[in-house]
Amino acid sequence: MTLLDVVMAAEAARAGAAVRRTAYRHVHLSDRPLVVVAYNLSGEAAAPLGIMYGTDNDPGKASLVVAAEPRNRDSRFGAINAFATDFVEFVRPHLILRAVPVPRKPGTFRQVTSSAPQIVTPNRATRAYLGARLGRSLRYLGLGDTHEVPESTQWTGAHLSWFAEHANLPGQSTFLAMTETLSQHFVTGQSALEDENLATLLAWIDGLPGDRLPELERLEQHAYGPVPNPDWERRLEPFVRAYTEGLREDDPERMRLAFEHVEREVRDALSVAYAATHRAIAVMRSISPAASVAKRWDNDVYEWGAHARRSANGIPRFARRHDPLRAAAMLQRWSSTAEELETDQAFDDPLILAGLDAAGRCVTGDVTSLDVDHKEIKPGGKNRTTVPLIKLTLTAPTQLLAGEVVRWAGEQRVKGELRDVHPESLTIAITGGVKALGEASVGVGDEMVFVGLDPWGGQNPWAPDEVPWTHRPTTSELAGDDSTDPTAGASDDSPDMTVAELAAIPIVGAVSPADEPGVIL
Amino acid sequence: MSLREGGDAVGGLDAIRGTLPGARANARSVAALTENPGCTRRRVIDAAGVAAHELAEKLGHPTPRGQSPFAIEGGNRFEDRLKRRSGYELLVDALARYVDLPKPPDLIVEDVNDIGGRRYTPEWMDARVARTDDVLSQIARGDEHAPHIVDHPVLRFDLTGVTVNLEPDALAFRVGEKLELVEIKAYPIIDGQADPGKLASTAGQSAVYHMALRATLERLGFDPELLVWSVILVAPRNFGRQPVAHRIPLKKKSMSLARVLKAVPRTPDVLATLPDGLTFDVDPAAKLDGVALRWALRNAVESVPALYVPECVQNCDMAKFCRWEAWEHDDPARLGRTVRDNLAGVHSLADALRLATSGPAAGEEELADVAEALGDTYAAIQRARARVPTAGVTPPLPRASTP
Ligand code: SF4
Repeated sequence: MTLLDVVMAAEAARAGAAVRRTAYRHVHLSDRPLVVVAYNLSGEAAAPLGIMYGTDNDPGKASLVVAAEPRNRDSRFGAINAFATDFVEFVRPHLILRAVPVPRKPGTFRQVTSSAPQIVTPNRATRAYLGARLGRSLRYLGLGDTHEVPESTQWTGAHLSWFAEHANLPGQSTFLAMTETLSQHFVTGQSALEDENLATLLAWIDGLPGDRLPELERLEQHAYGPVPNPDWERRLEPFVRAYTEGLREDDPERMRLAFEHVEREVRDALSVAYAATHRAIAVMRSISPAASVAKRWDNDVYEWGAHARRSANGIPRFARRHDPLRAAAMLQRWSSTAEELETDQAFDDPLILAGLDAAGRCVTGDVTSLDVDHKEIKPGGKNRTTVPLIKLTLTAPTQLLAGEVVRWAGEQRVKGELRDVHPESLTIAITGGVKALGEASVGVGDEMVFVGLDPWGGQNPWAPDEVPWTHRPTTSELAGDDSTDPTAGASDDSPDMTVAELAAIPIVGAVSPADEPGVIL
Repeated sequence: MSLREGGDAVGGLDAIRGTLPGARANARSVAALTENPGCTRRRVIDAAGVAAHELAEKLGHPTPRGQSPFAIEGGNRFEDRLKRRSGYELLVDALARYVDLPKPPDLIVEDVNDIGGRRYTPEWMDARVARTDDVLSQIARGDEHAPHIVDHPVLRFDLTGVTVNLEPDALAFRVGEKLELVEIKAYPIIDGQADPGKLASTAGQSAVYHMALRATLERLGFDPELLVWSVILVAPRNFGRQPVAHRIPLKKKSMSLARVLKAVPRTPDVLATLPDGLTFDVDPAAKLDGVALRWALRNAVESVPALYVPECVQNCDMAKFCRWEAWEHDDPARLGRTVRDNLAGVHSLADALRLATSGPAAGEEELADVAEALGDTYAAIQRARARVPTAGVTPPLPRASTP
């Protein structure tokens, strides 16, 4: 937490309500994003008990798939395949390619998409679960020594894998986790750890009635997934067992009853998470977007286009892991994107700029004189050029020194150099963006803010004509070549258990942490 | 874990626990102790052998402690398959990339669980410690009949001045080679990667085992370097039930843990700072009603200083009480460790806000620096808010539904 966060958190703690960290919204929101909430059976890596998803904010209109015994292959894939069918339908319109002329290259065209899908999850853990876990568990199915699954399930594995990877790009909006988005835009009176709980985070934003901590503790009992509340799972366990028994005894009526019970429980629990995620979206929608959001979404669509182009040739395949060179390059790109994002946000949003202001990296003052016709010879130059001089009376302290380069917060193109720096006043010589300054018609008495931050000082981001290398054809592909792992490729790594094995699972009665495996006595 | 201390302190510790039932500590206790070693309250609770979760419950702030039956069953089944159900063959296979052990029937296994006697009694634990000492000596001497795998050894170890019993999952040893620490976990390793949080806590737990093993070897008169500076993690590979082994280096973690533990005052010294006659057994005759009991207990517990951080929730059964206390006192620590450290000397968030808006009061001169930084920050926020009138406002939206 920065000092800025601390001050805001103290305000939030006093008010019992979250405080805005930003003046604007810094993520894109599509008209109808797909909200996905899920419960995974504990003890398994990717065995969904239930997935609820939809674009309508009424949970009654959402779709729900349920596996009453996710450790049974048929039960598990009954749910996964149904989800996959709908998911592929949701994605399909965004895969349509159209040809557009490549700028500055007459006669050449590129295939692009007009849009990208947007998926929204309640929290970071669900996002990671859907992408890196469920997506990864599906994407090699149908290949090599694996079980057959419908094609839409393979497609879902590929799409989710793309989302999982793209989610690492700072500032992306295709795969949002609401706890992350909300805590980027609001400061609460609780810790970052506690902010990972969407129920309490939303309670801070909506205002906490009455006695705060007991109310928050009550809300903390809500499990928004992917890990269900353990007590809830304990109550569910007999019905999962009954389903297996019905399976073993070939008793469809018993299975149906057990399934209905599990479905009801999962629906009740996931509806709450689903509604909360839509509520979070509504909160975000009520904030007007920052200027550079559109540019970042364009990039999301651009990158999605590369996936769409690969998809045009069949199910895209993803490597198990990136080779070191690609991993390093990717890391570098993420960090340069993060830098660019920071700069854009600072210029877009006064409250984010305030962080720099608090650190003394801004010059804030009222214009006392303006010499727009001032001319001088720039270092290394021969001709006299126009270098307007702006004299400011400082209204806030700065730690910037004479000679430092600053940009005008009102218009990034306006660049200047600090001169005659005194505690009360200074002069800024405008060395770039003179025309833009003229167009802005600044006058004596106006307040101006300059920032000591050069957005183009860092690395140049990728050139637009290059295929983003994240989506070049992969080299190290698939099954069996995991050279460091002698057992790789032996199976499709599914958590399947036979009906006999499932029936033999001992009943775990009342449990306590002392019963956890690997316990220390 | 039985926590006992020689000398005078025992009397004090016994008095703190009084007639309360003794604690059978678990992985959480050691994690709580090592994750937050500066917390006196946790040290006292552990040293006195008080059950933290029962204490928290009596204080009216129980920690929800349910565990998923699916998770427990899955974990037990995984370990059972590696060991008993496959005659240890699956474990030997998984370890093969790091230790070349003979296959059954040539494999010698010492299961320290099977020592006889009534389980979980102090005598049973003593016998297991003695048995572990024996086999460790055999191994260190290079005895050719020494076991290749020691299943659930029990190590008696001095952790910051209290004696604890620790139970790693297994030790693996090939005669003439090095001793390996093995931990079996039920969380998946997907494409060679595990959940970083879980991995970190496994490393933390293993670092304690590692320290304890080295100390045991030293106590028995052997070279602790026999033990490799790492732990071999055995966990399910990808999404299935096949095990995979990965070596996790421990040297840095163990060293930093040793440094941290050395820096905390020894438990007898901590006990000396506590109020005379302190006991958590405030109502041995069961005469108080619920509210009175809670108050008496709260006073006793609050007289032992805590060092709350939000992460306590993950490690310590007292966390709900300590969080409540931190909120009650508006303690900056409720926002996190860094905030507590950055606002050192500022006792509440309300004070932080006052310093930010109106500077230090008379008598607060030592807070001048932090007050100035807070003041500059507050002024910057106010300037920004003045520029965008809606910036400070939480959107006053109608609530679509109540979560
Ligand atoms: S929860 Fe309380 S007793 Fe436990 S470590 Fe944290 S501060 Fe100490």
